[in-house]
Amino acid sequence: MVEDKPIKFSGRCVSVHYGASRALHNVDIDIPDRNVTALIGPSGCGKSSLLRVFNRMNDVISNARVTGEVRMDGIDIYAPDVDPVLLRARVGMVFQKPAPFPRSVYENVAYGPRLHGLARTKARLDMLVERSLRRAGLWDEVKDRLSMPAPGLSVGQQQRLVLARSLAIDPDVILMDEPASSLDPIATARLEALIEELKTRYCIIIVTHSMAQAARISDHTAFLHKGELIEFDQTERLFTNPADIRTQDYITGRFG
Amino acid sequence: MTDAPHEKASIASLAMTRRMHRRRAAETRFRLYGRASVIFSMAALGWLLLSIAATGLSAFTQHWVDLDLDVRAESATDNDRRRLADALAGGFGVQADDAVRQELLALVSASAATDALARNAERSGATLRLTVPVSDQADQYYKGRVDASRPAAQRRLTDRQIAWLDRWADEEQVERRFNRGLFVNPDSRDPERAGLASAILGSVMIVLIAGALALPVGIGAAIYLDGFAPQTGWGGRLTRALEVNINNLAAVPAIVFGLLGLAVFINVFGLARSIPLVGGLVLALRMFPTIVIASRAALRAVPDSLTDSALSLGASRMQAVFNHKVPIAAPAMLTGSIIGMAQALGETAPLLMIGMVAFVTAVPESPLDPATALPVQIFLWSGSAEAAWAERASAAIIVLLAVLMVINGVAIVLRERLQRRRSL
Repeated sequence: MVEDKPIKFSGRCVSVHYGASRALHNVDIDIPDRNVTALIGPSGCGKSSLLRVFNRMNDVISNARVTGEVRMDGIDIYAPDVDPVLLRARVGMVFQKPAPFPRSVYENVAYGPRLHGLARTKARLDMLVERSLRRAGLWDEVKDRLSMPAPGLSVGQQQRLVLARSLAIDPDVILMDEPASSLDPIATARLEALIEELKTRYCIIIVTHSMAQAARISDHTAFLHKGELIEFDQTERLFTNPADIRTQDYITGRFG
Repeated sequence: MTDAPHEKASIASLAMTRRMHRRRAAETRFRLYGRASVIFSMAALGWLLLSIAATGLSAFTQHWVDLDLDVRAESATDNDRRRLADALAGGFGVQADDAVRQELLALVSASAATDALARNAERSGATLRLTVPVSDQADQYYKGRVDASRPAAQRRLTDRQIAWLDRWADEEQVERRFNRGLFVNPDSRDPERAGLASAILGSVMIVLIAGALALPVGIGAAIYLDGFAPQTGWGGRLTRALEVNINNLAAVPAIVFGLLGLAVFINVFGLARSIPLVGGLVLALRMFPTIVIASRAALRAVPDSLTDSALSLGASRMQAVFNHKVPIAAPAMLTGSIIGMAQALGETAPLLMIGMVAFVTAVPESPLDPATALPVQIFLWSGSAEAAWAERASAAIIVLLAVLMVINGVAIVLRERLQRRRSL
């Protein structure tokens, strides 16, 4: 793998178990910074489990167990002295279905900065909310309705709102778990354009079930199958010249 | 079915049409069953309320009589009852013998009248003007519940007594008033003086004590079980065992809680019998599982995606639960809790076990004074045969229902307000 960008995450022998069943098995992966990395594969291949390794959201699932070593910027994020709460302040996440808090648009975005004490004054908080909404491409649509309840937005707007919400705490990394699966094609196109913009600032890791989407927006793609990382390469190479026969079968639509 | 659908142009085959008819018929039948059951339950409820109102409403008024008593000093004895009877006999112009005295005393609330006489003892000799409640029998007669046409042996008022009562009424000495005593008097052996003060205060104290104990503990336990308790391994097994047992606790008959209260609070901790403190403690135990179960259900209904989102933003588990889960679940938790409190208000059996069935003639001043509770008072009064007690028992039921309606009303208002704040 030819790399000009620094490595953000490096995982070694990462395995995830849910109770007795194994979701991810001995994955070694290096994810570059300021880049879009797509995780693809058939349902149940472990791509969401891998994504949740990076912000330790697997810890939330009661019977999940993660083994192996994961370093972010060289620091072992599973070390006993690392607080997952602080890790998650640096690694934002956007879920498959947007889940805005049943509060106003403004409160949704302001929640994270308030949690972490990022804004001392109201003016600073206002600024942070505006900047986050701008980065998520939502400002122009909601600037006059900041006090309206967030669940009243369209699904596409909600998804950009939760993106703005995670941008507000100024993370290094944004994890996206099939962010476009509940969006219509126009909203999806907007989101993809947004990802393209955001990757100049953030390390983005995106799980997607759409190979076309992975090909369009990602710089690197990882193909997972039955809990194993089959192939990880630059997107162009993986899609045009896959090294593994299973990758080829998947991207040509023979299974999955 | 005729051949008609065959002949007409149809969008569906004959068999399809027939099946459709059967489906429609099934639906219509189900609608009818539903309506019938709704009508049946409304009728049952209406009948219940009507019968209670028919017997009970008259207890909210009572007849009082103005008496001009000529209590002569020379006829005075130490016996107030005898002086009262003689004065009454004088009023009607009859010769007083023992039988007449007995019948006269049964016309007014003798205890109330003798109390008034004793208070005015130094004024004896002058004509004394007293306004006292009539006796329960006389009250029933004035309310038209005594059939004077029946043979004298089948009623509790003699012909002579009825004649006297009619004379009072003719001379407009009798007045029907609102029965204030029903709310300010404690229990009494005389129905016309018996009131619900002890029972109402006792119930209020019991429910407040039970609520103050069970609400924070129950809601706290539900939040802990939902968001913080271990879910896997031995800890998870313990959690599940705990939850099963809380559900079982909700199904334990109420009287068993009374037994527990008797054994623990009275026998081990040495608290007194019949006091609202013990009643509150027992009913707190009774309410606890109801509150936990209702709050658990409310918390479980909140989508995990909200807490997950909060966690992914770097909220601690406590922040995620208290900022996002609890506010959304609050209206439903509140409703469940208030239903638990309403249940506690109507609970009788455990209070019987801890001696709250005692005959209490004083209004309690603190949770450590003997008291009764509304449902227990209803139980006590409904055990007496006289019409006046039946009337008062029904009146007490009306009071209990009114209190319950107020509590439920408050619950609804609070819930609406919380929900409106949530939807912002």
